[in-house]
Amino acid sequence: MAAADERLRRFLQPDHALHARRTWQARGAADTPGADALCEIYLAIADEQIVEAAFAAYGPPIVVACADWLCEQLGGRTIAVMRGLSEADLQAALALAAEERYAGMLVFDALQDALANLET
Amino acid sequence: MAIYLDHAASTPVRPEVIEHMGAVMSEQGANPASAHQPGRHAGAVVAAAAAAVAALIGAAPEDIIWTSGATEAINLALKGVLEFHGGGHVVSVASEHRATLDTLSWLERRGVRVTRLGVDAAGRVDASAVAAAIEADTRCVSIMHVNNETGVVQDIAAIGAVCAEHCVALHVDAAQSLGKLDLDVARMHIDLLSLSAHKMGGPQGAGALWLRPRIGLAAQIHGGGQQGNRRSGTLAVAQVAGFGCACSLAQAEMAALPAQLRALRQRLWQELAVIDGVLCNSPVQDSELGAPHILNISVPGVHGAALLTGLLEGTPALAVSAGSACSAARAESSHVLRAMGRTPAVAAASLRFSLGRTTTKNDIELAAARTRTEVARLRALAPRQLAVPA
Repeated sequence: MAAADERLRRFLQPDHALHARRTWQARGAADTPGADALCEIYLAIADEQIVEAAFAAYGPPIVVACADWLCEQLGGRTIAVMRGLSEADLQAALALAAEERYAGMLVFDALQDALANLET
Repeated sequence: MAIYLDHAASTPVRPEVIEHMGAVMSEQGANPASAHQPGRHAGAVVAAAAAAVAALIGAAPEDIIWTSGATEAINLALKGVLEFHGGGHVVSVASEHRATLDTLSWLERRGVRVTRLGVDAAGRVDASAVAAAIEADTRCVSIMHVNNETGVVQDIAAIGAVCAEHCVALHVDAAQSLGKLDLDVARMHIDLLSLSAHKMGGPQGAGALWLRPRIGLAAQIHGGGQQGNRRSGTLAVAQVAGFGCACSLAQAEMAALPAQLRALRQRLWQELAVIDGVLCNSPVQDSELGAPHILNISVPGVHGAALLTGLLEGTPALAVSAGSACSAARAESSHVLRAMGRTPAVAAASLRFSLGRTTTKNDIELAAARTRTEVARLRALAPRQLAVPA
């Protein structure tokens, strides 16, 4: 699937939107200057492993697509492996243009915040 | 097929116009400036078109200057008047179309002074504010008749009276009002009027500047001396003919079309008003203040770009516009709505529906239902603090 199609599909029909069927162990949030985009990442964790990740997002379609992609990558990973994910992976997977990279930074900032909240 | 509610951006060319343009193009393609018989025939086609355009604005055909569209007409009007006077001062409004604002910025960089008046919460500028802004060297007041984002109608007659009293030329951008609202250059004291064909059923690439006789104007395109040295270049006869045809058709429908559009727009607003927190940025309650074909709304808690993409790409697809291109990276939102006092977030969450002659009640109901569904979907995706509208 071309990156443009995948981005659109993830925006129109995201698989990892936040739901109430689970208890989440960690929540992290981030926003952009001017609050033009906001992202929350939710993690359900058992035995040092991400059972499921979900997001809530406000912003342009690329923000939703990035959040959905990230949550898909997180599911089933250990926390240690999860820390190895990089923005470069996201940029490559969704072919982010320079002016869209803020969206990748935003969702990773939200993930880092969730991890920090988990540790505390 | 998308439900097309973007007539303020461009309206489908009317079949009668296509037929007329086809007939003109199939004739001998002579230059209307040529003295031979085919040239005179082409000239007669252009003259007939000028008569049709002029009739719609209460003007004389010989004062029409053909252009490639309203943007060129606005450039010619503002640059032409200021260059003729060797500089000076211009009064305009913060919520004008970019064609005007960017031209004024270009003039400013060359020493022209520009006053950009604010608007009230409805988007209107008061004639007394125009009067107060006029200075001794003010050469032109430039104001759009109907705002392209909100549909708000400026009181051109009152502003024109102020300009006439101060002997200052009034330029009006009528791209959105031609064929939908009454335009009378004499009654409204207009001195220069910019027009577009493709907003009212004519072809893209055709427009005109009407210029009151004895208003000084320096040409901006040189070479050949066509159109009385005011705008050189061989005329696009078929485009011009199409514009004239669209004006003739519009004139015949002026009694019925505005009321038809207004009724559909009211219906659309009724269907959208049930969305929690929705704000109407168009003056829908007062038929004097709002053009009949434009409805602009803001939906708090929903990002404008996301809403637009969801509507454009979802099913059934809608063809609508954001009030203005929004960019998270550049943190831009509609300059028109911000001038009206809307917050940047509300201005960024705006959507413009614009109706045309071909819009049906079914289009309206489908569009409203799609919009309600998409708003609900995006609100469900949003963080909880945004999900409940303020």
